[in-house]
Amino acid sequence: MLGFTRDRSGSRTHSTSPTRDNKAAPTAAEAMKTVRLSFEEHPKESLHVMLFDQVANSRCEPASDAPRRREVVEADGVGV
Amino acid sequence: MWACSELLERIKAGQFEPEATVVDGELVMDLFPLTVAANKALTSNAREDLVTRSLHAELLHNLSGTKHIVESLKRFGISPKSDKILVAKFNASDEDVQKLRELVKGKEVDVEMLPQLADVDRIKQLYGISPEETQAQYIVDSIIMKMATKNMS
Repeated sequence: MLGFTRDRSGSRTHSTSPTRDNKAAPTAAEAMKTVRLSFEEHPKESLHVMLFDQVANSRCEPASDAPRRREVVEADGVGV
Repeated sequence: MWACSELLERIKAGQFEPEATVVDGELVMDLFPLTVAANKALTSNAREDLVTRSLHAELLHNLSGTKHIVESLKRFGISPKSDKILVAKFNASDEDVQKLRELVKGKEVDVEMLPQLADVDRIKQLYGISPEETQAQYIVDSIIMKMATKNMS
């Protein structure tokens, strides 16, 4: 059972409490950002969670700024 | 026309190593739904009852309020416009964590920033949470309910 409880204020506390992973990161600042979740039902398993903002490599770029991909059709020489 | 960059292409090509769940960071407003989804994925895995192809895909599917696998992966996975990304990996080694950091070219922020980065309107729309529900209970509870009951329609 996953199990969580509510205190009187209505806020939740997780029995699968996240723990800060101090081993995974090369610096103390980065270590504070990583969370490792553990599971009561699955004591051998864990889940590392990282959050990134301002991610550049998933963003689209306008075609005018990006390398253009062309397939040349040999028959009429028109780039598609 | 738009040209999308490396990360999304790697995921689509199945070349995102080490394997991890990559979620649109605007759609996770609390660690609790992620914990529930992960616990459910682990239970399904232990029972050899995954409905997706991997434990990490199962986590992404479990996060959604729809039982349609392709739709849930599309909705909660990253899109070309995503600039907030949550990366989750089961049983990650130190090396895995470091590799994932190197793969995602973004500013790593504290996971406690999730509520601030969340797009609450999008979350309400995706889970089909009505204004009445948000008045009656905390929105995260509504999310958990939608996740838990998606197979009951």
